[in-house]
Amino acid sequence: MRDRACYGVKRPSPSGRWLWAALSGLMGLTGWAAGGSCVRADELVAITGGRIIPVVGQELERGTILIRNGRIAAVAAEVEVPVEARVIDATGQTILPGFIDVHSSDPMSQSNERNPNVPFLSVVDTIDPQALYFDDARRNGITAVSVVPGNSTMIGGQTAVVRTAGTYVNDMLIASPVGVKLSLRPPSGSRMSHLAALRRELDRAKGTAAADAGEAADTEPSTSTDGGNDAGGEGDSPESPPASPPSGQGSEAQQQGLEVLRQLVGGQLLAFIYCDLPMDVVHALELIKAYDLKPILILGRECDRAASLLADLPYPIVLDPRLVYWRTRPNTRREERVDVPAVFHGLGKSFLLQADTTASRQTLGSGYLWYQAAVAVKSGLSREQAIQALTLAPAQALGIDDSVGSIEVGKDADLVILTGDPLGTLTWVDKTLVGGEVVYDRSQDEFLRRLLEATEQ
Amino acid sequence: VNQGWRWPWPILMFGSLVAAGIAAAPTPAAEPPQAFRLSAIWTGEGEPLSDAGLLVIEGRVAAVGAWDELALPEGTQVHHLRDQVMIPGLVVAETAVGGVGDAEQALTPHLLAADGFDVYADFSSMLAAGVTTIQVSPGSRRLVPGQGGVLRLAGGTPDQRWLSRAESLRVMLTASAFNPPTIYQPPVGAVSEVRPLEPVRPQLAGSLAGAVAGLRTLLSTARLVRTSEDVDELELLGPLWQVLDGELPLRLTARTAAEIQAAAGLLEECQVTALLVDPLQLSSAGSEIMLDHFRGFLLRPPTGPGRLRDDLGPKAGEAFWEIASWLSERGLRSEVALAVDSESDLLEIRFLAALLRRAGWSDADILATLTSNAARLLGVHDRVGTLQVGLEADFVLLSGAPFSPNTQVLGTYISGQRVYRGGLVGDGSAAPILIRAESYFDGRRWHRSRSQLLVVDGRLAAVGEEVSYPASTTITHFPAGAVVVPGTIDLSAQLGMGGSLSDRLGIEVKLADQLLTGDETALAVRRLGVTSALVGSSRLPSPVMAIKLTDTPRVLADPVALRFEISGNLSAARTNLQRTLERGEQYAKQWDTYDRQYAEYEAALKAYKQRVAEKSEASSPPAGKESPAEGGGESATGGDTGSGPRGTPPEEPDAKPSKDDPAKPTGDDPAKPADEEPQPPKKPTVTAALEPYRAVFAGRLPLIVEAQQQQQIALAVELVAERFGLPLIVAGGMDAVAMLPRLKEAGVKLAVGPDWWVQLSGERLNLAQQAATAGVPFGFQSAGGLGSGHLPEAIRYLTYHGLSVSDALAAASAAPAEWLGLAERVGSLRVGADADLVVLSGAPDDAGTEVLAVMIDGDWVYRRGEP
Repeated sequence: MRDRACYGVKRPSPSGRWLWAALSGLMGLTGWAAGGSCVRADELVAITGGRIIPVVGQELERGTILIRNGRIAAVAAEVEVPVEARVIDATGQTILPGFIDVHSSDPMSQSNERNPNVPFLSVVDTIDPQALYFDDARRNGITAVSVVPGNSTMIGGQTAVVRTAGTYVNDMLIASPVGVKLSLRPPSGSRMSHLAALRRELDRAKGTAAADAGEAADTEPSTSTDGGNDAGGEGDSPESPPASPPSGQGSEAQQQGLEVLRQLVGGQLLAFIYCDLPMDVVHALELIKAYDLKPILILGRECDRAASLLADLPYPIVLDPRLVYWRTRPNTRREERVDVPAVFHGLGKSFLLQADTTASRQTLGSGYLWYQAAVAVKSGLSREQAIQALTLAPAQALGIDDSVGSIEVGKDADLVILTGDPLGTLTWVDKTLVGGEVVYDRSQDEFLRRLLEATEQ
Repeated sequence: VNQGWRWPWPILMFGSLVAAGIAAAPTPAAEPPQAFRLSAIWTGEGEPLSDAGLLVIEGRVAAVGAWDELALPEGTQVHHLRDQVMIPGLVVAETAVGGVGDAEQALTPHLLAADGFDVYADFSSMLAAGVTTIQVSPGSRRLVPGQGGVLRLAGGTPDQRWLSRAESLRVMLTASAFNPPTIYQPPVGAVSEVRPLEPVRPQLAGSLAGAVAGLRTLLSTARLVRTSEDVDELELLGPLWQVLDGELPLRLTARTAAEIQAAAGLLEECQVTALLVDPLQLSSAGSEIMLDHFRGFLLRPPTGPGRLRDDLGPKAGEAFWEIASWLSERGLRSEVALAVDSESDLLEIRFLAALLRRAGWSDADILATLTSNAARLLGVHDRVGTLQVGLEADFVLLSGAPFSPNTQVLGTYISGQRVYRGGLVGDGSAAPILIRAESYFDGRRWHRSRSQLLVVDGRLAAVGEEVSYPASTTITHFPAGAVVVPGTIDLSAQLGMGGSLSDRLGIEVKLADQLLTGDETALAVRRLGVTSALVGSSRLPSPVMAIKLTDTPRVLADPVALRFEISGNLSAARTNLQRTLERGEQYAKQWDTYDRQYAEYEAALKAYKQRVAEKSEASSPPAGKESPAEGGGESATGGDTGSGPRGTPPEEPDAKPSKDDPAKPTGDDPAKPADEEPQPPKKPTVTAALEPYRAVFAGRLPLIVEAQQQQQIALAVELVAERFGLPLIVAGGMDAVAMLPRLKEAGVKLAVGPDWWVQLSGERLNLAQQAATAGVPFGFQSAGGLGSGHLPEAIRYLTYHGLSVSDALAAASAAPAEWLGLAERVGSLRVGADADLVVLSGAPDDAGTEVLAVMIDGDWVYRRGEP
């Protein structure tokens, strides 16, 4: 899936792209972006003169990146630029790997199902490539997003990592499925029945996985644990009335769901575990241990109180977007300011960041990944750690660091060109490249231009 | 495409760096063994041990028993808490804390209350009530709501606090559980067609009969069907199998007689025993045979002592102490523990449990329902519940016996670590202290009935036979016969300045700079009951300062008196003293005159200003031309109406009402008589060396004159008291015994000591007693350093020789405080005065009496038996 096929869509020729883009605009799309990610095999792009922060390896004060076939072909202070290469002059600008949004359900048309138990669903089916989210993502230098179902669920479905530019979802996929969303906050009802239900599903998956392994080992037919029987067995349980017979589709979906959970329990898929409260962290750690999960822990606001439990564990954690908040001490009724990044940094625990795109967010800044990173620097992180938390660290946590996350030869040319300091408030994203192709150019950003016009007046 | 899992290397690297850092840091030395010595230890089983000790090593009880028999390892840290009482951390065998809530279905035996309980919740108030372990229940409104857990409220990481996550299976045979929500159906979702619907389950019938029939079916199914592959079946049957195999205890709530009998019937059929919760009609439910099915009884005390309820509790059934009484008649006293609903009741658990006294239970029996019984019934008695060797050192320090009124929790410990500290109020300042003794002397009078003194913020807030006090108060009981008296005031001592001071000091010198923190002499002396002293130089004349013997001496008054002596050649002494006093008087008079003139000047100036104001008002229309800048409006109206005096004019002739101002009106208005502004009187020169005399001649600063012989004393009386009319204290004057009537007439006081006896015409006389008899006010002085400490003992000696105890105590406290103008603060035990007091083990004149404790400014500076 990594090799992006063009799915028979006639790609616009470079000269025609402008026309194509204009047409897109007429179709009601904002901005110029959405360029698509199919690149002609022989296309060469060179970004020259800029300061390069490759995240892995030495920073170059002034260097050139040569891109061939959508991949980085060379990075050095001096690179011979072939005459046929299209040159992007980045003199005075800063080039970084594209930012990676590790946890977002904004690209989805709806973040959660009403049904809390849907392991068989995949976010791929709900991503809208024309969603406003992608425009904003490119404008903010985000080149890859891990699309994860929302937190109001139990088993919320499979996640995927996509590029932020493309016409069709399948063009955009970097990896799918990547993981499964589990939430420890019950959408309704009590926490204990929520956890019991979650354990039951995982037990079922673990049990069938173990049984299959047993069957594979010795062909002797052990206790019948056929999934079909399972489904039937439910209906036959002594105190259940004959429920409406599950349709063929239903049991197929159940089978698919079971298969997904088996991969989850086997550690082939990541478990995105949402912990709403500190107590959920305790439960999450128990589940990880009991079912041998490979987790990424998505922490709720007050989970800093459970930080000591996480400090020595190697699991990646994603902080709540509200990085700094006020808490009332129950015994003294005094308010105290909690600096969440500082708490984890103080314990030597690295973390990932997410942006808050909800309408109820308290500050405008927390909607931007770079701003979150800047806050983390204020809380004590080094600038290198903060930039890493936006690029390489999420790529590694998602297992896609062989293609993205840093500026290295052979990796995809997913880059962001900034007008200045990466964490400065006066810095603009000048260009965003996905697969070597410019998918955002500030000089062409009509939306931004109009916005700034308004403020200037 | 599945990406292979890779651990993010920066995290790993960072982790290993941190790990290396931790390894490199010196590992904290293992905590030394801790020993606690207490007036009593209640181990949770049986009667308390008195004067007992507990040894804690690595969070566990290593030894417990009589203090004398306790073998302490090397390096043990000893805590002497000899007026405190230790009990095990309280264990409550059933609670509804945490609001775990009900599930959707009636039968959910697989659910764990531990899953829904927030271990990060705030437990500080429960710890403050002495509760260290609680049972956590699933909801109460379903037939089989799930399994409870047992949680310690502190210590370790949250997941280590669960003593048991599946303690027992709860079955509710009560009316509230018989009517669960109707048939459970999951809501219709967006993708209902492919949704893996949970099977629709019918709920059991809504009556006792239906519920019991359902449970019976379930249990017999569990007995017959011992294996299943179905997850749903496993959820339902798994816990029941455990119950039938005796791996999971059963806990049945049944209130009415019918419910209890039904419960017993069910248990009979499956041959298991259970805890019976809330058996309100147990005695009427009947037979003794039935009791065999229950391995324990959890009784629920009446709820809500913190608020009056408008009902009389459970309608059907007996009070819980009646049930307790019924059970103990059948020898089941040790199978009883308590159940509590809300957190607010949990905070009152000792008050509620004490109601079992109505069943005739001893305090030890009552405590067992909250400790050993509860832990045993919960199956955690190998970890908590009693103070036995090897168990967790979870204990509570109390100010008295566990169920006595006024007993406070002073500290709560889990695994030997203090998790709550009492004796502090909200803002961290010292809590009020209530001192209870048999009698007290207020400085003038005896109060021989029982005595309570409340100390708040270093002062006496209430004194009487019985006083009200705030909830946070620490109560200190003193043994029978204990007497509280005011701290002794020494009228001359060398304390607080690191030795004696013999420098020549001008009387204007402030001595406060000389004070030392932790003066050894002062610390030694105060243990014997001296709390305040007058200090100065031994080279006279000298100013004298009054201090309190706190760690850093606090100044009461500086100066509090001037000290002179009359010695040697009498006529020279007379001339000297007279000249000194005359100079002082003259200086004081000068200032008196000035003060009087200044007062007159101020009055005149005020009158003048008023006149000027009136005049300027009257002349303001013409003046308006002159000063148009001055907001004319107001003054114009003022002038027109001629109404009352205005406020101060905008340009007030301030401190310098100099020449220009008066000049103006005279120039402008020659018609009016010149009104000279009054001039301030001339200020006398300040002479520092004479300054104190202003206070002396105003009668505010007494003179202490040392004089031994009769003529010397007579001179002091004649000059100081009679001629100049100054307050006089004659110090050390033994010959005063011969002239007591004259002293009385002149209003002179005596400072007696350090000699007590005087020979007069061959007779040995006790000066203090003589003075008391003659009605001459007197106090005591030690004129020493460490010797000051003998003062309280000397007072007893004097009472041995005829001085009344009241006179002696008054002379050591209230009397001198009054002469020195310190009566508001020291010398007496009355509301508002500083809490400077001494607790004696018995009557002050009894030879067997010792000092039990000394308090200065509300802090205990000495407690007998504590270092």
